[in-house]
This record gives sequence, C-alpha cells and structure tokens, in this order.
Amino acid sequence: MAELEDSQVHAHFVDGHERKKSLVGITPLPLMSALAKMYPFLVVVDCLLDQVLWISSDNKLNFIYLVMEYLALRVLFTSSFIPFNLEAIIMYLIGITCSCFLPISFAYYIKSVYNELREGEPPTMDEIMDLCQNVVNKLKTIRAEMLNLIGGNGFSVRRLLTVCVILSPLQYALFKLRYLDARGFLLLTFLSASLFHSAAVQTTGILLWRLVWVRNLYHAAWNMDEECISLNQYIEYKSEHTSDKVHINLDEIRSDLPLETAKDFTFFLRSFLSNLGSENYNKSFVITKQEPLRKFHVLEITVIQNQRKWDLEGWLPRLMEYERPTFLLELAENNARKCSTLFGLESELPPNWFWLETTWRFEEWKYCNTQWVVLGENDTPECFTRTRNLKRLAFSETK
Amino acid sequence: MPSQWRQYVLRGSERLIAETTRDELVRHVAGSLVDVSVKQWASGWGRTSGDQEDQQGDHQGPGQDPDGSAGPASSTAPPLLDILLDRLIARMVPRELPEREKLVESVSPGGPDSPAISASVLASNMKRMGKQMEHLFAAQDRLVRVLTWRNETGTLVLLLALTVFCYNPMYLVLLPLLALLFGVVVPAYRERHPRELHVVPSRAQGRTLGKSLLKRVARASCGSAVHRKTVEEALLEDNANLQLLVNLRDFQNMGTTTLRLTDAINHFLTVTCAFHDERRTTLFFAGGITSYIILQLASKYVNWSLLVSAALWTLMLATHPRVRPRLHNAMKRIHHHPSQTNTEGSPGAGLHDVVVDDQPVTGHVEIFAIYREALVPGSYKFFLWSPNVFDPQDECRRAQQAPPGVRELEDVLPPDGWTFDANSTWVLDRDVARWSSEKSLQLQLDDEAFLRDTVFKRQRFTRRVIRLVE
Repeated sequence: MAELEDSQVHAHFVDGHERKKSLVGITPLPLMSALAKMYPFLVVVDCLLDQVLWISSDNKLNFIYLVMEYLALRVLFTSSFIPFNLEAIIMYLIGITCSCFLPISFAYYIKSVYNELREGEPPTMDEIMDLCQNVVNKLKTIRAEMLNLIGGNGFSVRRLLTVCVILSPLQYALFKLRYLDARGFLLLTFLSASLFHSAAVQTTGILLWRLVWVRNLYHAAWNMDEECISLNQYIEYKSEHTSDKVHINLDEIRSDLPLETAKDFTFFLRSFLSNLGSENYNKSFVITKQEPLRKFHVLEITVIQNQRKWDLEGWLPRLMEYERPTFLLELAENNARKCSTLFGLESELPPNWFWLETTWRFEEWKYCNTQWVVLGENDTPECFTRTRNLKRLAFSETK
Repeated sequence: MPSQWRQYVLRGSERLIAETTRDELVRHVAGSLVDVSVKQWASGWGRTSGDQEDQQGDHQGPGQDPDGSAGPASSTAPPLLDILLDRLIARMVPRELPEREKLVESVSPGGPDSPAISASVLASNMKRMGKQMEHLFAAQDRLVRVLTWRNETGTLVLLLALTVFCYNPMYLVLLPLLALLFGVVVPAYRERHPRELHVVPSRAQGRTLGKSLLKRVARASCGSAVHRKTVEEALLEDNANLQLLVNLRDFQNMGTTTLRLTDAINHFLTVTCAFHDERRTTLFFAGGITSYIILQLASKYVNWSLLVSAALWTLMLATHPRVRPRLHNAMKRIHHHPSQTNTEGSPGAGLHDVVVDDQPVTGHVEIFAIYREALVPGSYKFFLWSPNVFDPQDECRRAQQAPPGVRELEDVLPPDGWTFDANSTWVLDRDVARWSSEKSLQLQLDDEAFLRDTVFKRQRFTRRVIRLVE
C-alpha cells in the first residue's frame, strides 16, 4: 500500500443527521402500522409548524394567509352593527369571503396530502422517523423562544408572574388612553403571536438585546441594587462561622521565639504557614508557649474578580449593571457579596487585624459564558466573561 | 460601421475562433460565406461591398438610413463584411441563448424571443445611444442648475410644485399631465402655427430695462459674479466640433460616477449592513427600528404635508449660495465653543453601548486513529490519524493507497471557518457499536473501543469545534 502522508488534515464533522440503521427490521409491526397511519397527521402538523416558524418554502404564501386570517378575524370580532358606508361594506364582504375560504383551503390541503400519499409510494420508516424528529425539534424551538420571552432557559412561575405584573399596567394604559379597543387588542395579540417566531422578530429581539440600556432596563425589573459589604462585616461574618480550632504548642516547635509583639507573630506565622497546608486556613489557632496562653485567628480573605469581554477592546473590568460586580467577597461557596476595589479593601482592614501576606495571591482565570457558567481555563470565542479568585491571609489576636 | 466597433467585433470573433477547432472554423466560415453570397445575390448584388462602404462612410451605422433610423426595412443594404461577421457569430454562438425576463411576452411563442446577437445592430445602437446621451446630459445640467439656485426662478417653481405634491400627491399625476399638454403640445402647435403678435423685435440686443425684486432677492450671487458658461453656450461659440469630445468626457464621467455609486451601495449593503462591524450594524438597526416605531406612532399626529414641505424649503434655502456660507460660519462658531457636557465624556465611553455576546454555533468533529496489523499476527502498529474510517469499502483502500491523514494529532485541523474549543480535548468514543451502526459498518468490535477488519483497526476520537464569525 502506498503510504502518502499529508502535512495537515482537516477533521470531518460528526454528522448528526447520518442515515440511521434501517428501522424496518427492528420495529414491531403494530408500531409500524400505527406510525404509517399517523404519517399524514404528522405531515399536516409539520406544515403548520413551518408556518408558525415562518420557514416554509414560500413565505409569501404564508403572508397572504396571515392577511386573510387577519381580515377574517376583523369581521368575526366586529359588533353586529356595520356602519353604512361603502368601505365598511366592502371590508365586511372581504372578511366574510376570507373566513369561508380559509377552512375550505385547510380542508383542501389535508385532502391533497391524503390523495398524494395514496397515489404515491408509502413512506418508509426512516421517513416517518425523520418527520417525527423534525416535529419534535420545531416544537423545542418554539418552546425555547417562548421561554426567552420571560427571560430564562427554564420555565419559572416567578418570572411569568413578573412579566404579567409588568404587562398589566401597560395594557391598562393602552386601553385607558384609547390606543386600543378590545377588538384591536385581540387582533394585535393574534398578529404578535403569528409573527413572534419569524426570523425578523426573533432577530430584532436578539439585536435589541445587544443594547446595554435595553438589558439594564429589563433587569431593573428583576434585580435590586445590592449594597457593598465592608471587609469588617466580612471578617465578622467569617469569624462567626469559623469553629475549627488548632492547638499549637510552640514549645514543641521552637522555644526561643519571643512572640511579644504582633510583628514577631507575623514573622512567625509567615514561616509557620508556609509549611502549613491551605486546609488549615480559616481556622483559629490556639498558640501555647508556656504561659500565658495566646489565641490567634487566621483568616483567608477571598475576593472574586470578574471581567467581561468587549467587542473591540477585549477584557475589561467593565461589567453590566445587572450582573456580577467587578469585585466580590466570598462568604461561602455560591455566596458572595459586592465589595470595593482591592485598594479599598486594603484600607478597610480593622485596626486589630494585620495582613499576613504582603500581596494578593492571584489564581488562574476561569473563562465563562454570558451566564457565568465556567467553560474552562482557556479563552475561546464562546467565552464572554471570566472570573478568578484573589486570596490573602490576615490574622488577629483574640481574647 | 464605424471602424472602432468593427475592431471590437473582429476581436470578439477572433476569440470565438480561438475556442473552436480548425475543422469547425473552416465549416463555419464556409457556411457563412455561402449564406452571405446567397443573400447578396437575392438582394440584387447591385453594388460591390467596397462601393457601399465608400458611400456610407465610417461615421454612419450599417443598415441605417441617412436620417438615422435603422432596421431591416432600410433601403441601404449593410456592408458585406458586417453580414459576414453576423453570420459567423450566429454560427458560432449557441443556437439558443438563455432569455431574460420580459414585461410583455413575445407574440410568437414558437420563435426566438430576442433578436440574435449582431455586430451591425450593436454598433448602430451604440451610435444612437451616444446621440441620445446628449439630451440626458443636457437635462442633468438643467436639473443641477435648478438645484443649485443658478436658475433661481426654476428653483422657486420646483419648490412650489413640490409643496403642491406634499399637500396633494394626486398632483404627481396631474402636474406632469399639465406639463405635457402645455409644455409640449401647445408649443408644438405654436411652432407649426405661429401666433401673429406683430411685435417689433427690440433693438436693445438682449438688454432689458428694469429689474425684478424677486429675482434680485433670490439671485445666487450678489452683484458682479463671473457668469459660468454653459455647455450649450460654449458649443455655440466654438466653431470646432467639440460635441463628440464633450459627449465622450461626459460618458466617461458618468461611468465613473455610476461605478462609485455602485461601489458605495455595495459597501453599504455588504459591509455596513452585514455586521462586519457588529457594533455599528447593531446601532444602525436599533436606530432604524426606533425611528420606525416613533414615526409609526407619531404619524397620526403629525402634519406631514407641512413638515415635508417646510423641510424642503428649509433645505433649499440653507443650500442657497448666499445663505450657505453664513450658516457654515455660524456652525463653525458654535463648533469652536463646545458645550461643557461634550468635553466631559471619556473617549471610549461610546464603545460600551453594545454587548456582542451571541453564543457561537458549535459542533463536533471526528478523527480516526488507524492501526495496521504488524508482521506478528494479532499485534497492531499505529498507522495514521485520518478523517476516513478506512474500512474495506473505502475508495483509497480499494486503490491500495493510504487514506488522507497525518502522524501527529497536532496536525489535525478543524474545518475551515471553525476553531477547536480550547477548553476541550480529543475524546475517545467508546460507544463503538453506535458509531459503527451510524456509518452502517458491519465490522468486528473489541473491548478497547476498536473497530476491526482484516488488516486495520480504528478508534474514533471526537472534539468540540466553534464556528468563527468572520
């Protein structure tokens, strides 16, 4: 065999739509029969979903049907009294014609589907399964786009209620200011629902969502502005929630240490903790050196630094108002509070506390998506935010 | 036929000839000669082709009457060379060229819709178009003079007409009808039947006494501005025949302007509107949609006739040559004293009004680690990283060739326009049964995620890729 080696080669995509193994041999006959009977129904449902998503082959036809549906609904929502003028009468007649034509057109379509299936070759199992998959995928798309409307990947009753609460005064105002009457409201709702899944409306939503002020306005409804936590409050909180104590007898370690002043103790702890594992940070140390007994509390202060990637300038500490602030103090896992900058924290250390480390220890950046879900330690085109921990030890002598 | 057009046609024919074989060429030329001879014989063969050319001259198109009209009804027969070229082209181009869409369908459905390509018709049309362009450029001159207040009464009449259009768009139909009736038909009648006014022509040689106040107010320049000569005046004064040169220059400039305009439109459509600069296009879209919504909501409450006509008058008055410099100076003065708020904004503040954080499209790619059986039966040696499964049905395998592949995994690249997810690695797909069934491979599986055949065995590795936005 001739061995010709390439210098580089492109990997191929894993094709998710590859022809699956034929289902004919493995599908039970009753199931196949049921699926074959369902096929025309699936074809009709698929066509309707195409129209809802505006992805049918001829969108102009879809648009004409929408206009006809609108005209028909206008007549159906009209009160029995028709003003006696030519325009109103013509519109009424057109509406009546549309409302008669549309059900007939739908019935004709169903009939044509049945006829074509009867005259043509029966569908294979693979065709039926592909169609089922398409219907499911389209329904999933509709569900996802609907959920986007209430701002979230999953369904949340709270968000739905909030949307209703926000929209209710708006609708009331529209009625009160006579911008809309009941008929107009129903027609507007019908048009909005019909056009909502079209590429135009969806793309408009996506592009408007890029505007910072739109996001801030939207999130103003969900989030209240969080107050900063001071380092003093943080230390108090951590001290209350730290119960572990480590007893160290200095006589056993080194007996010639004077340890009269905090400076001496800083020097000692620095050298001591350099050999101590990080599992002992955040613990109280009870140090004994003959007499008197002295107690010290060592605390590891963890600050979370956040940044966002901007289109032209790259990574900046500038974040959206509604999302995480640039610096957070980590109280516990998944519990952090907004704080001032690193310079601010330096000055916020209470008087009886001393830094054990001269500078902050920087951990590696963790790159995240827009929802701050960590994707990895490398920056890729799908990473838009990043976060890292900054740690520094401080101590205080306790009574 | 003018000599330059003949050159073009001859060059085109040469190219056509270069694309055909010698036998075909001889056949085409011979056939064309026979056609031409028969046609000339049928039409009387009254004059030699040389005579015809001498009589027609290079400046007159073939098949064209002395008054400029062209067509088959022409009494003058086209020169022999043109007919020969037409026949030659007709034989060498495909019999049926694809048809363009037409507003009115051909009456004869069976026959060809468009006339066949013809050197003589082409040359004649180009010449006639050249003459028509004169009128077009003259109209353009007139329009520019009106828009730049060099024909101040014309500008005012135009503004009045536009104001009328704004208040009643029906005048868009009515005023052109009025213009046709009284601007074309009535003067044509008066030309044929002059009005007898018995007015003695003034001896003042164009000098009129008294001035109009309106003209004085609306005049573009105050006092002694240099009168710019129009093309018509220049042509009247100059005895030399400048017409052709002026036409050529105008034609050239029109081409340049058209190309610039097309380029600008293309740039707008393919760059500005196409998200090359995501922030700019997003802002453009947001601005557009906001304007649309505001205008839609406000349309009921705005007197559009008044607004548009006032805007037109304001725009035209602002571009008046006597007003524009003053406005320009005023703007300059304002610009030199910017308000306090303008100086405070940070330079990069505007860049943070748009967040481009759309999730990119992701996918998975696969690569196969192919192992070949070594000399010792049952032992395998690594062969290649290949995008092909390299099963016994593989084309390379059948041709006794190695599949496309590399020895090192680092040399495997993502598909064009995609990049590997740096936070992912190549992952061995242990579900061999699934991927082999997806690829309809009926080969032997083993415990180490290998799919085995007689000589080779392979493992599948997959990795996440992200689509790059260009």
